[in-house]
Amino acid sequence: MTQDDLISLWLTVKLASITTIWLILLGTPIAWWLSQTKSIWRNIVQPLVALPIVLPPTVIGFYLLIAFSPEHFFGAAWLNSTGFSLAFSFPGLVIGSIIYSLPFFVQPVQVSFQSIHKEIVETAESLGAAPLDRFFNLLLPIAKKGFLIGICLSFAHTIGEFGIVLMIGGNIPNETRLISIAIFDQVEILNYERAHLLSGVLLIFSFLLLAFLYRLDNLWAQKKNLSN
Amino acid sequence: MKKTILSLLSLISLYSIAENDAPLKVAVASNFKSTLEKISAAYEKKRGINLIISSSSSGILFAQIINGAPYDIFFSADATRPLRLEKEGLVRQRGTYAYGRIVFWLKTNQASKNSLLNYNRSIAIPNPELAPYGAATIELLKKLKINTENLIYGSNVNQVFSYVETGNVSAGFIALSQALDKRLFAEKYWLVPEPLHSEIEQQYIISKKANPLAENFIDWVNGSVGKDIIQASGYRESE
Repeated sequence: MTQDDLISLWLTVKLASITTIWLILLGTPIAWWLSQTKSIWRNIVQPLVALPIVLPPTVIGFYLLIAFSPEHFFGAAWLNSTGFSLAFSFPGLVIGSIIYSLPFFVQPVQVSFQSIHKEIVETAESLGAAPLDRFFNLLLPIAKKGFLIGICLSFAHTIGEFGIVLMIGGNIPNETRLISIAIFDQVEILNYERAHLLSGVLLIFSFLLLAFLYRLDNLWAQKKNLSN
Repeated sequence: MKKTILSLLSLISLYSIAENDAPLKVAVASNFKSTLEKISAAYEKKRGINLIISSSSSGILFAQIINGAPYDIFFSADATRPLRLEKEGLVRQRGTYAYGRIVFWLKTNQASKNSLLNYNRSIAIPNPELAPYGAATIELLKKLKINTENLIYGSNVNQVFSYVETGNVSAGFIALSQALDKRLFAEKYWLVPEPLHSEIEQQYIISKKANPLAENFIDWVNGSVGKDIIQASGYRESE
């Protein structure tokens, strides 16, 4: 692997990690709200969160490219307050990836929140546990499986990001040239050996991640059966 | 059983008869697509032969062809890929159909050589590793001693166009054919004189197993109608 490849690989891991941290911070309240609310807004928020599963990444990329432009409201406001433009920048990719991977975090976490029996929470409440205490010491441990799946899936999904990056990235080394873009470039310039190498690395990585997830899932299932 | 096989065989032979009037399958590099459509529209009208046009980047089309994609003709944006295909033994005929021209497009101001020399913000260019237009642009920038650190790469001229069009960058290098196709104001772009970069030679190939009509269409492209359209679309036609 060349220096360029390693830089792209590192950049990809960095993007996936930062995106996942943001998703934990932003996605958890959304998942919690969706799991509890009976508000009619739920009918709007839930499909909104799920949209990136259905939409081609090019659609998201296209809208982001327009939104990031200093000629439009959001891009102009961003440029004024931060002094840099979002298109062709790493922070721009982080925003794109958060949107792109949102459902892969929110949905498993939401499902695990929904599986928590109301009585347990009410009992804890009646025993005098404060809301934050309840969240960290009761809900989080019960929902840990959902969190782990959400974290792994959103991390893996961000690693696999291509369409959005192609549209808003600008292919800048050490800034926006992710591994998927590097592979695309190598195929374009007929450098199939390097494309093979990089693709192989991604294939093995993705396989291992999923194998780990399934293994964990099976272990948990066994544990549950034993405790029953 | 025998009957079934026989009728299946006759179906296959029917299919191969139909193959002779089959439409021409043409793969074209994205920068030449709209021009080729104009040329083929005139051809289809005159000869009553249909063309199925697929467009993508030259690299992707090359990869498809090498892996057996059934295109009769491939119009590449460069000369390297057609040559490689010929070396792979996949080519019946190869030739040059046009030379590309690059323009400096400045969205906010009047474009000229001077405005390029004085421009100090980011410029979008096609990735020089992928796109011949990008490689020519880099040559030009080096020749004019312009800083190449502030460049943003699009994977091809179309992507550069969208970067500038959406306002994410205010200047970029695109193909003259795009500037004409999108009807940009003439004062917004500067046509780079050809001596400032090496020729952007665009070649086609007819694949080895191509429909016999492929040569006929290439003659049309290289004929007077084709040449006129090619020139009017912003390319220098081949000699």
